[in-house]
Amino acid sequence: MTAAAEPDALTVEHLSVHYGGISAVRDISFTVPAGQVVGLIGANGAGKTSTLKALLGLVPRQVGTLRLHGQDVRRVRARDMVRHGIGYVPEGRHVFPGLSVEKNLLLGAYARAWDARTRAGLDEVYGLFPVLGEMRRRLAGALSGGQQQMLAVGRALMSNPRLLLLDEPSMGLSPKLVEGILAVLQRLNSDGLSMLLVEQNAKLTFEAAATCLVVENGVVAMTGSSQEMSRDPQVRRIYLGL
Amino acid sequence: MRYRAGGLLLLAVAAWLLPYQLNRYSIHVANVTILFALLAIGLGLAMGVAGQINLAQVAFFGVGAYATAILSTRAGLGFWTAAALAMVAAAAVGVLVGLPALRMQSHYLGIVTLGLALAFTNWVTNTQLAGGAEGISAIPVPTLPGLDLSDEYLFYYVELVVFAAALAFGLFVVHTPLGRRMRAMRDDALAAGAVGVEVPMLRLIAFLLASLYGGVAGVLYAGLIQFVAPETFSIANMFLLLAMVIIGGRQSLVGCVVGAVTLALIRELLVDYPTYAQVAYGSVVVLTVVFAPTGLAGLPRRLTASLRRRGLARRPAGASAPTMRPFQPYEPEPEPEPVDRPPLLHVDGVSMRFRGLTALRTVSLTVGAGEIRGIVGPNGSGKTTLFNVISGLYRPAAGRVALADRDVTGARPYRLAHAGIARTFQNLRLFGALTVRDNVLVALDTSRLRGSWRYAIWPVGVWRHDRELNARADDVLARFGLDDFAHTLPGALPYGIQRRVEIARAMARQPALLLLDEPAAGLNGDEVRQLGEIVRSIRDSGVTVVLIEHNMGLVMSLCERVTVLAAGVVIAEGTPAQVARTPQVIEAYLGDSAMAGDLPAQVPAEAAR
Repeated sequence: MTAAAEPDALTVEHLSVHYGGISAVRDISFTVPAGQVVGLIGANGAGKTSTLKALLGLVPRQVGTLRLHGQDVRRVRARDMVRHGIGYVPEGRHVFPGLSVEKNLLLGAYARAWDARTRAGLDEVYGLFPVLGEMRRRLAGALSGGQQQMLAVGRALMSNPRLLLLDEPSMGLSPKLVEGILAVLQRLNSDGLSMLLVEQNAKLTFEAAATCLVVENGVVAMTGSSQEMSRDPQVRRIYLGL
Repeated sequence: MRYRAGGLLLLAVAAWLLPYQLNRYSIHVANVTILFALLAIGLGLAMGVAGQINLAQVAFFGVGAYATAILSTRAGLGFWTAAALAMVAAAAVGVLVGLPALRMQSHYLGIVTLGLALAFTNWVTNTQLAGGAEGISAIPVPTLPGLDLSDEYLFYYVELVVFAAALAFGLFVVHTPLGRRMRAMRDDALAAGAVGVEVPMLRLIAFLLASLYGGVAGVLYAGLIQFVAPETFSIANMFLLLAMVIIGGRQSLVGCVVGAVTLALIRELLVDYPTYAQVAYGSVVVLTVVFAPTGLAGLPRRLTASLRRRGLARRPAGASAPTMRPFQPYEPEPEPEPVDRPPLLHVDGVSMRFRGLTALRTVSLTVGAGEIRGIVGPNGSGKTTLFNVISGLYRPAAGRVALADRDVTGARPYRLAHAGIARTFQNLRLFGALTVRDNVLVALDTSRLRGSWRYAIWPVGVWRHDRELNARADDVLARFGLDDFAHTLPGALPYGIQRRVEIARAMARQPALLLLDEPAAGLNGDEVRQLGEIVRSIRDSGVTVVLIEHNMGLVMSLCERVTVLAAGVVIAEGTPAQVARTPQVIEAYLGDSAMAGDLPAQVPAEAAR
């Protein structure tokens, strides 16, 4: 298979989400090309998190096309999505507070066969986030907010995904660690991992993603390269706060 | 509303006419069923509403019945005098059984209360005073002028009136400040403490209420059967009661009643098949827990929700997406001269250790009244721990905290809330099963729990107080632009809006000191700017603000002074500009700041004043 023929990591067409009578996402379509990072920015309540959850099937949805690396996954249940090579970092961490850091990470590898690569995966995560290695025996609930955030990212990586969905990975991280997380994302991407990145930190998004979508009121209001967008005066005002 | 009132009237008429349709045996079943319903309401209040696992409800029932029996036969008191004393006894036992709840919760509390219930049955079985295993018979028939209460048909009406009053009182409690606080405590006891709910006292009140319902049922039982024996108050009956509450829906008192009536009738049908009956109860409980965790009472809502999901039911009219409106600034207070600002918060040499990990090492800081203080530092440097010490969640190993010259070190969170400290939480701690409006209402109520006696003496006063709180809640919601979400559960809201709700809830306390833990997390640039305006307006209204924040743009534009923590130690303090130039801070926290970003090229004008 040549690079040109490689199917997109994610193809979404006509995705809608309703909660009760309220529509959170209305007929969204986009693709994440293989090996690329696509950013999703927008105000609170615009429908970003709902979009991610709907992709995984965590909330009821209507969708025309949903393909992962060319394969139709519309009928795949949420808990099986991870076996199709999708990793998910939920908003607000959601680590297992009563388990140690290492057990949290190992649970991330739950869907895979337990083998030498699991060990290697642990080492890889500890390489990316040394602080997790130092605290591997500590309960996840005893970590600080930012450390839990790193743990959530590390846990998603343990399933060895081909596409990573990240919901606000920079939330609660110190400026220095935001730099760190950007470096991690860039490194993972250069290893070939495709990503869909939901962020409030538009600056981080523009640095990490080649393409960006702006979501407003449940629809895609703007699509373009990050470079163009970071120069758009309206985007600068609303999302960069400049 | 009109339908509901009509339905209620219909039910009342049906209940009133019921005896005309029943034979002698059936009326006896109806009388016993009403007693179960009374017990279930009490259990529902303690367990479903206040979240206190209470497996001693049957013992409260027993104390009521036995005390009536002993006092009316052995001591020769009249039935009603004995009944009044029995209520006092039940209440006292209720408070005693509630004491362990001050130390433990959830299943531990279940085990302890179950143990106490077992102790009660053992005691009555073995003591001469209570008649041993034979129990006490020949309890005098209660007398009412003009009524012969040895007639079960007439006793039914006495029970019915008591039941109606008890249910009405229970519903009144649930929907007014006391019950709202109980529900808040059930959802998140820690956050409830932080908004001023006196958690220990409230737990005792929950047990007290449960025991009063148990006591009433016990007195009526003694009057109805005129005989008490230990097996009526056995653990098997406790579990039957528990099944009633779980099947009916423990969070709804009406559900508890429905569960009690349903199971009491099923029990009657299965009376000839005792073996199968136990299996049947067990299976129904399991099925309920799995398929309808909110019980029968929660079914209608779950059904409509599921139908709507499949697009079968009509969507509510006017389903335009609700929106968060702009914040309406507070009236600014005349600003005092910055020079004579007295210190409001004084943290002196505070240390905090967790099993070998030193989270804070002799941290000191002083925040002047009317200041906006920023606290920044790397992840895990102890910022939230410091907030937890100030707001009373942790007692520091060393050092002291003073609020306006008053030493408040290690005081309980609810005391600090009453002393004027309000806070938000990094990971959001809203009361999940309470609407946004109820979340605000819990915080608005600054009255003390010791005022709860008014529920017994002067409910009108409670009702007026509640109406006044509701009016003020409307103001708070409108000010924070949250009117559209008043009746939404917080879990259904986007993160950023939940953060706004938490600030609104904290401000509902009208605090002197507001602690904000990462208020800008999950907000975009424009929303961060709005947040800046909100915090500034809060300060201008006379509230001192301390905020933990990673968004340096916000910190730079908002805070007069910034304290930097690293590894539990204060490494720098000064104006934002001074701090941002400190090499240690750059090294530990800011990094090379390309990404720390959001650092505006110039500090906006507001910060300069």
